[in-house]
Amino acid sequence: MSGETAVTGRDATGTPATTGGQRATGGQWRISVHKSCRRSGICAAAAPRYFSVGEDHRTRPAAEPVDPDPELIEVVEACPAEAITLTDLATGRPVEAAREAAAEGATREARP
Amino acid sequence: MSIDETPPAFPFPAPDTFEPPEEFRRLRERAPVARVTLPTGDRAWLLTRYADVRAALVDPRLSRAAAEAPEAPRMGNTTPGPKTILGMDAPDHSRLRRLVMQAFTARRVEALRPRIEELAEEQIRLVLVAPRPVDLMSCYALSLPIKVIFELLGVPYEHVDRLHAWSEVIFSLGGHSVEEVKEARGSIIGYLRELIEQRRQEPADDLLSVLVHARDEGQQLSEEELLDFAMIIMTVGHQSTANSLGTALFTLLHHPDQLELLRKKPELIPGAVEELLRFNPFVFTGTQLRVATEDLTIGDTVIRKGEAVIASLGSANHDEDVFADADRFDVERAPNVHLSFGYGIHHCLGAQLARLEMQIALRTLIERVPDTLRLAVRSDWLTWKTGLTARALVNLPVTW
Ligand code: HEM
Ligand code: HEM
Ligand code: SF4
Repeated sequence: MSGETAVTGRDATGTPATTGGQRATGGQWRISVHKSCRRSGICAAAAPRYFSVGEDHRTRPAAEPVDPDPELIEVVEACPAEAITLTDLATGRPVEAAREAAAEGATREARP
Repeated sequence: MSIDETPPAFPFPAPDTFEPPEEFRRLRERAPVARVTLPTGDRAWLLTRYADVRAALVDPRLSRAAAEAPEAPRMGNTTPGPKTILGMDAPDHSRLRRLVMQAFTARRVEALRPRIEELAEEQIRLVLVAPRPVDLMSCYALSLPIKVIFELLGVPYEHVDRLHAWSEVIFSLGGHSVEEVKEARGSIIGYLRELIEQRRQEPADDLLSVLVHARDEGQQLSEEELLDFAMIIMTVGHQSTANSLGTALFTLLHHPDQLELLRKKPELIPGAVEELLRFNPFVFTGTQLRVATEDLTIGDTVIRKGEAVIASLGSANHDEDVFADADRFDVERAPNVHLSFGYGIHHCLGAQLARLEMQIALRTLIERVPDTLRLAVRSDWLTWKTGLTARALVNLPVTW
């Protein structure tokens, strides 16, 4: 994952905390998992900070909004059911420039 | 456990009752993390409970890459290989998976539906005109997935016999020496090299062309990755589907009431496919070995760095903690959270394609073959081959 460096830990409330790497514009993101989820476990394995699997075997995203993180965009793209959406809370709209942002993140990290 | 008496041999002997080995149930109750001896003589820890299996498959300390190291414990002569998608951990795996995902998006797979329906129709016509009894294994369960995968890759169908002979050598364990397997791999790779070169010159609307042109932030699949991957899609893509489909057809013929139910309510077919995948009593592992990259604990058991872990999907899928009346085959079971396609980062890339193929294959068979369809021999006369991850039917003679 190219987004590894963006997330360094959790704050006291268990919300992932981030250092740097955010985009200049846009607000925090809300993650949601649509019911078309096929329970592949890919997101929970790839990004356990953001996804967990409940007693009922359903995949759940972090309840609280999270700071923008290119790693999330990679997970969105890796989901075989296209079941994960990210909403930019500043605009209320889906994080659309997903691919570009991921590319940006990767380039930024490759050439610090 | 260093002063051990020899732990039991795994895979366990297959019972003749078409049920999962009794050992799985016993271990789930009494020893959910059990030491076993593999066919190579190496040792491994066998996980049989659903919760442990799922947790292991998302645990980054249980590595596929470490299981490809030369000194790692082995199940048999062949492994996917360290340079393949199933032989890698994150982040190498993530990069490769992202590239190949482009060829397996939900949309791309769904777009194949009409073509798979045509192929199923073609194939069922051959079944209908063949002298009875007809072997559904060779005439349907094997040939349909092969045609689909060849179509998908863009491999000309005239070459199917050659390629199939090679992939048989690679996948049917036991009968072939390490050298023969190597040679067969070499032949397939040589063949694919030519095909890839053609696609590079002249792109077509097929998976191979998508792969040849797959790009990811300026990175591309290397020649070796491309070859390995195409080869994997070809071999895994049809062997697993054919085995699963063959076993599914057998299971339905063995449970005529459930088959009857599907005839009356074909809308149950998608759910029935999930149940057929879950119920498959002939899967003993379903996953490749993982090797611990550091000491870790599963339940009360300490797994040492370098030791191998087997996550048994077959056992997890029959765990009563998750599936009520787990040994009962019930096409209406819901919810059905089976693990037949694995779990975590290596979750089957072809899962949606395999589901679609199995659904279409069942629907076409049910619609087109008269409802007197039945096994042509006693079920205990069928022949099975034992691979490393599952038992599979060699033939399935039916009549109507
Ligand atoms: C019913 C049929 C199938 C079953 C039961 C099945 C099962 C599985 C399982 C259990 C795994 C995970 C193995 C592990 O974690 O050790 C897997 C991985 C994989 N399967 Fe399938 N499979 C099927 C069909 C297919 C098809 C049709 C394709 C390709 C067209 C395919 C391609 C793959 C690939 C590439 C992986 C490796 C993914 C990775 O490592 O990221 N499979 N499959
Ligand atoms: C990334 C590449 C590969 C993937 C994803 C993969 C995946 C799988 C899966 C999912 C199965 C279980 C199939 C089933 O019985 O339902 C399997 C079985 C097997 N694979 Fe692979 N495999 C890969 C490459 C290879 C290669 C290159 C070889 C050998 C050269 C190989 C040898 C075997 C053998 C011998 C079995 C056991 C077959 C059986 O149970 O009858 N695999 N593999
Ligand atoms: S990756 Fe997608 S399909 Fe898989 S568990 Fe996560 S949301 Fe569900």
